[in-house]
Order: sequence, then C-alpha cells, then structure tokens
Amino acid sequence: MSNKSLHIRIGVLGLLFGFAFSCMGFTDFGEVHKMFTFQDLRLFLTFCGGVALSMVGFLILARGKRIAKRSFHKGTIPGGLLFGVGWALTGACPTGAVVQIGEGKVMAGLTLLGIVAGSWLYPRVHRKVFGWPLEVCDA
Amino acid sequence: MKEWLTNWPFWLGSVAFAAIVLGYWKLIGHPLGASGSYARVADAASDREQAAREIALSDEAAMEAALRAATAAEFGSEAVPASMRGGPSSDSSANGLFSGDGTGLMPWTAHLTFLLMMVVGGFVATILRGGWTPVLDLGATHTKFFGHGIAAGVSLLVAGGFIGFGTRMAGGCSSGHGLSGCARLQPGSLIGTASFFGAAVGVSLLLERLFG
Repeated sequence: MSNKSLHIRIGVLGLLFGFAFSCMGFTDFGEVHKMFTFQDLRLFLTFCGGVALSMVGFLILARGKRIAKRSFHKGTIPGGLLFGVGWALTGACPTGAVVQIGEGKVMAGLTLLGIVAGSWLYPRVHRKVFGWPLEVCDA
Repeated sequence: MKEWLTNWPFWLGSVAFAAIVLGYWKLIGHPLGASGSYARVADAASDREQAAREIALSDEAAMEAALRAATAAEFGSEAVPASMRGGPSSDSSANGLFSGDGTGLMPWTAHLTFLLMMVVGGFVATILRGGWTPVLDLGATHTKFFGHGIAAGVSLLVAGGFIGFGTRMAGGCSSGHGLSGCARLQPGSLIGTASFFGAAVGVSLLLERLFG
C-alpha cells in the first residue's frame, strides 16, 4: 500500500476512534472513576463487549492468518501496574489523553507530555537496568 | 447537549470498539495499539535508527525484513544476499520496513497521523455536542480529588509519565493489550490487562476513601 493510502486509512481510523471514544465517555474522569470503583458498570461493559465482539470478529476474519503475538515477559506485570496507577490518577489512557485535548480539556496537555516523556524514557532505562527484549504494540 | 453523542449505551460502545479493532487490523495489517504509536513517535523525535534496532520484532517475517533493511543501511543494498532481496520492503530506509501486510514497521509518521486524527475525533464530537470551548478542569470528580492548583498539574504530569513508561514496559495499553490482545487471548495481554485494571481499581478506591 502506498504511503498516502496508509495515512488516509490510519487517519480515518484515528478520527473514528477519537470520535467514538469521546461519545462513550471514556475521556471523562468522572465516568472512568465510576468504572474503576464499580459505581457504574457501563464503561466496563463497553470494554468487555468490545473484547467479546472483537474476539468473534478475529475468529471469523483471521482464520489461518498470522498476527503478531503478545507474549508475557518480566515487564508485563510491573508495567501494567504502573499504567493502571497513571490511568486512575489522570482518567486517561494513551488514547484518552489525545482525545481529551481535542475536546478542549487543556489540562490533558500535561498528561500527554508525561506519556510522551515516559515513553521516550523507558528504552533508555531499559537498556541500563533491565535485560529482556523490548516490544512495541505494532511490532 | 446532544444525547446521542454522550455516554453511549454499552452495546453501542462495544460495537464501535470492535469495529475499530477489526477495521484497524484489516486496513493497516497490524493489530491496534495506541501506546505503540506513542512509542514510535517518541523514538522518532530522538533517534530513529536506535528505535528500529531495539524493537524486538515478534514475528519472523518482520525480523527478516528488519535484518534486510539494517544490512542494506549499513553496507548498501548490494550487501544484502540476492535471496533476501526483493519483495515490497527491500527499501533500505527504516520506513521501508513497512510492507502493509503485517510483516514490518509502519513509518512513524503514520503513527503520528493516527494520534493527531484522534485529537480531531474528540474535537468533532465536542463540536457536534453543541460547541467547543477550552476548559481548565477535568470535571467535578477530578477537581474534588486534586483541586485546581499545582497539585493537579503535577499529578497529571507524573501520572502521565507512569502511563508512558508503564505501557511501554508492559508492551501495550488498554487498546493493544486490553481490546486487541485480549480478544486474541494473548497471554501477555490477559495478564497485562488484569494488572492495569487491578491497579486502577485499587488507586480509584483509595482516592475515594481519602478524598471522596
């Protein structure tokens, strides 16, 4: 696929993702907090339903196709815990932060700055301190 | 406030999530993963080649493409054995690793496009809800916990750092691990998702107890 076609495709997907994410309420600190404290299961069910439907979709569409694996490694649990703490404190996951900015939530700029800095820092710390192989989402 | 653009019922959100997860995979050739996009953009800002080298490519075809490109970059494309040449990804630049069939890396600019268009998506949704105005807080609940001052700003910056560092350490976030990975029952994704969900529940309950 050409570079232009790739940018158009991924751009449309980003637009739809951001739009839907905003409409779901996943960018609202209060709604996200209600999910994590089980005061309201709507977003939790949204997430679980998304996983279930995607699973059905992958079973139908991806039969026999190779998709990059996501293996468990030493960073999985500590990294996940750290992310969970960050998500609960900011109300934003990596997708949420950029969508919040689009919604006009100026403070999310600080969250975004933190995410980019942390993301930039990790491989540098990893090289000095940890030893297992690095992965990224789209590897 | 337009009702149909606010707090979608769970089934509608689920359908939208699945459409994005499957659409992304179908159209792009990679599984969806927002933190991976951040990682590629953050690396591109500092050292592109370093990043390309460090990424442990998890499937063999991608590894082969990476080796081919690295060899070509180091010694010129003539150094690449003829048997390894050819195919759409024999380009010697790191960007050329992407062949669109899921066996290589996309150019980092595509990841930037993805993130920027998510900003636009949030903007469009807000406009359609009745108008876009910059707001200085993150809503009543956030203000109740953190106030308006420096503490709120510092907590966002530091916690944002946790998100960037943690998602990269875990190899994914709520889209890559949570949605796309769990849907394929990937072990790293299931454990990763349990970890971040568990931690977020713990911290949220703590916030509730301390400041609620």
